[in-house]
Amino acid sequence: MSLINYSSKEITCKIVYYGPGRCGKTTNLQYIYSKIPDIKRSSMVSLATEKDRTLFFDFLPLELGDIAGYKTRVQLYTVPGQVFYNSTRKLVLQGADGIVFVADSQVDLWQENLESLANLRDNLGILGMDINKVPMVMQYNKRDMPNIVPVAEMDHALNSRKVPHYQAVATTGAGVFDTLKAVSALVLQSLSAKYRR
Amino acid sequence: MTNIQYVLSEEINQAVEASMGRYLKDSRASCALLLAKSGHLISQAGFTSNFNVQSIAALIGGIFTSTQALAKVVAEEKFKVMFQEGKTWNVYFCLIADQFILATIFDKSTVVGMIRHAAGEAERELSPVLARAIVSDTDQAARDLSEKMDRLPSDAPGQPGAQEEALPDFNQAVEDALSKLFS
Repeated sequence: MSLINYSSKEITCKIVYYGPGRCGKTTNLQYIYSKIPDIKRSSMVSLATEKDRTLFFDFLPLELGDIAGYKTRVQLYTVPGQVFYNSTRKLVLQGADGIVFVADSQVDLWQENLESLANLRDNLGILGMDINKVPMVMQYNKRDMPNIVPVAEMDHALNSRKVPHYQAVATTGAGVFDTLKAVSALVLQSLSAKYRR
Repeated sequence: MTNIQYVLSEEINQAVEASMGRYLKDSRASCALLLAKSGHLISQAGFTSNFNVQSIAALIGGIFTSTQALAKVVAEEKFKVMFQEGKTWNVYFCLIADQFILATIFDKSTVVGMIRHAAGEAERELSPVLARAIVSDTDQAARDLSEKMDRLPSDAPGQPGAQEEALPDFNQAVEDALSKLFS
């Protein structure tokens, strides 16, 4: 549900980071926010519980600047990962132009990844969106942890659509910008395809 | 994927800005924001530089959408209006054409009754205009606008042409934009 303003030549897109609880969605946004130069920094909104778990969403607006003559703005959102916040996840997912699925690489959290992906598929379906069509990127996070699932195995189980995937350690920033760059490009390509016959 | 998008032509944009200007004058509010329920900011009027309007739009989008879920729980079809009262600033927001939210930030120089009255008038003006901003792939409007979009980049000096072969390499464009932003 992007917004294109021909008069002011602006494009605004919404990208949602989705994944199981504590997989690193908020950390992705925090890292991006920390790297924005002070002069260009606005604010990151985090609606979190007292224990810093996302309660509603995190929101980070990014002004990408001029792309093909249009002032391009990307709005990054995260959903709350905890199972019992499903209704909130649906609200945030509404109007998403692109999705980053952040999977936790740790062996112990394998099942949570599968459940979260199934939950994403269900929620998109309820909103009239198709998980096989929405611009999407996979991020296999926490690659620095000791007991992790091999990337090939994660990709085989989670990425049947074969969308671009990236390994990441969001706490250090590894893979964070690669993921952001890939999903932003996919969203813009999708918009371009829609409006160019 | 859902095929609803918001596309504002110059004509729609001008009509929206004119309505927002009138609304601000009639309501005597400090600023007004028009946004989609998804949190996308469409138009702003008044002293918006005092506020981080992108964040306000995202938060109001979230609040309003969750309020609609609350309406369903109490067997209401929808809640059309919300009002938040603070020490200095108050926020009034109302649903327009079922897809948009008109949010108004005001201080003690006006009263909520006046805001409410002016918002009703603004809704009558904005509803038909905004309905034309909602397009889908199947709409003729979308096709017409797509032709316009094709022309626009070539109008800008130094911009690549808009023909199919001149499409920008978005991978490179985004990489350049991010490098510039984070340099």
